[in-house]
Amino acid sequence: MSDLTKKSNWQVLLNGIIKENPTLVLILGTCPTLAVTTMAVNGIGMGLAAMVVLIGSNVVISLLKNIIPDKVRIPCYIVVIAGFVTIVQFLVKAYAPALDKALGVYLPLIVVNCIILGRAEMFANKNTVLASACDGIGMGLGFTLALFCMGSIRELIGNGTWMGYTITANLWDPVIVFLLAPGGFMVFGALIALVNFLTKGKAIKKKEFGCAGCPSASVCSVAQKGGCN
Amino acid sequence: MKEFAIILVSAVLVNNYVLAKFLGICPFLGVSKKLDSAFGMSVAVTFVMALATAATWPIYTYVLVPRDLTYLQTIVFILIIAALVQFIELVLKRYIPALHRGLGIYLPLITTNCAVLGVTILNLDEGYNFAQSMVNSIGSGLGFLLAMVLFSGVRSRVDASATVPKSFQGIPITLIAASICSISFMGFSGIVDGLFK
Amino acid sequence: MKELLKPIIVLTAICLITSGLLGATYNVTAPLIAQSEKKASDEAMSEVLPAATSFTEVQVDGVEGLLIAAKDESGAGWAFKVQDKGFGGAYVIMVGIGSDGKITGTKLLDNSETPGLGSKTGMPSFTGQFVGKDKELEGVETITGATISSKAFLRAVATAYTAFEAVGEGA
Repeated sequence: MSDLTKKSNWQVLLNGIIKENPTLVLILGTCPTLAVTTMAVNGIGMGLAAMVVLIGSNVVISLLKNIIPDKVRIPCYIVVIAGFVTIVQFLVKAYAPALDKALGVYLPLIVVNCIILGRAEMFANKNTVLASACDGIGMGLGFTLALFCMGSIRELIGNGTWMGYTITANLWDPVIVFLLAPGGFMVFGALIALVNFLTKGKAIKKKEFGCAGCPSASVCSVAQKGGCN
Repeated sequence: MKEFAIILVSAVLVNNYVLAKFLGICPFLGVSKKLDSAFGMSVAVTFVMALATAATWPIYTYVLVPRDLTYLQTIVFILIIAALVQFIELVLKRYIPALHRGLGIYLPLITTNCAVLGVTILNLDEGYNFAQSMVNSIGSGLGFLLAMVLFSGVRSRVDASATVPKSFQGIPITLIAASICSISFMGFSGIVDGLFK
Repeated sequence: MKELLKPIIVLTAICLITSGLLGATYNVTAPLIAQSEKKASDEAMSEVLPAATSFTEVQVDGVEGLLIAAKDESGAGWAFKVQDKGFGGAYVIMVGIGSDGKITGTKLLDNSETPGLGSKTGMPSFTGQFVGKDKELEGVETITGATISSKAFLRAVATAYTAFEAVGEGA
């Protein structure tokens, strides 16, 4: 982590958007990525909701890093994150009820989104408040961008619309399966393959889903022994 | 009885948590490489799902609702699940070491498994009573088990194949394989209407 | 002793502070949430019963799935908010029934149906065909590929008629 602390806050922010994009490079937070991206606008909504939680929890955890005892840090993080998630849930319900309906159970499930606990454990508890806030913004934007790409592709192919505007729906029949579960897996797989292709396999260091990226790694007996596989 | 059968069949086949609802994707992709670890993880998840529902449903209905504290739902549920997982691990270690050796290693991963928190919230969203919630939780766990076990078989074939294009190797091809598994589960979508009505 | 107590105290303090903050946010946003829900519900009511001037909610017992029954002050008819089970979970519609027993309008509200398939039961091409129909719903066609959602819609309309009869009209 020492190389990260030397980076400027601006670099930390950019790092989250491109080089360590949480969804497409670190492969974290896969559940919401697949579930809510049937429409581009839902992707943006989910991304922004997670970003608010991420910034909030990163800042608070970074502030409390010297107070929280090591033994109970994971429960403490979970409480802080759950608090922010519930607040975001109320705000979305009050000001954007349509988004609340579209995200459904995945809104409270931001609590267990690996990105958020992962950043708390890997970044916020080792860095300054400002750097943690930048990390939250960068990771949040990276997550939003990835969800927006997924949502755009699935909405265009599966529904013939983009951001609610009709694009190809009148020209040919949309391929509905892209809106359903199989389409989600397929588009996600293809997008990661595209990132692999564009960066000639350099970006994605983790070739398999392993324990290294798992936020529970530090408390998990398996990870310490060398992984689940 | 019929009502329970409908809930069970929907949870296992139609609304499969992994392949239709996208809950618990991380363990589905991470721990499905070998059949025995896939099986162990799923049994642990089913176990925790059932116990988490048994704990959260009464607490929500008899503690949070009468005191008008339903807004604490998310925070209370995740804490209950975290505490429960710790507790189960301690109990297993102390009293049933054989089971702890089998399941114990998967337990810490389950706290942040969205399928467990998801099932406890969805039970209440659906308005299930206690018995229905328990059936739904166990059914969802079994659905997870089915998906994991089937998929570990698919993966062993995919991983053994050398014809995958370079960019698709590893994670992408695993997701494409999951997509095809998910298509096969779509075939169950009309089954509840056909079997019970 | 200090080693043992500190984690407990810190965790408890964090829990208490978070709960306090949540309570405060809840108190601020709860009226707003109720307001936006009521507004959506009111708008749907006027949409399904355009002739209505103002609605009063009426308590109806013993009709399973009925969420709200509202009577128009001017006597144009009733609006019923009904819940059923669709493909993806809860499925809520609003049905307007005129005092002559004919449907004046229907609208799909909360649903978690598959976008592009089940969600088509929310399109005017589907909901519009109920207008002017009576309890028998003759000539209403379900949507191919969205049988479960269509059936949920039909069941919910039937529930609305049960409620309509329960409030002493139409029977």
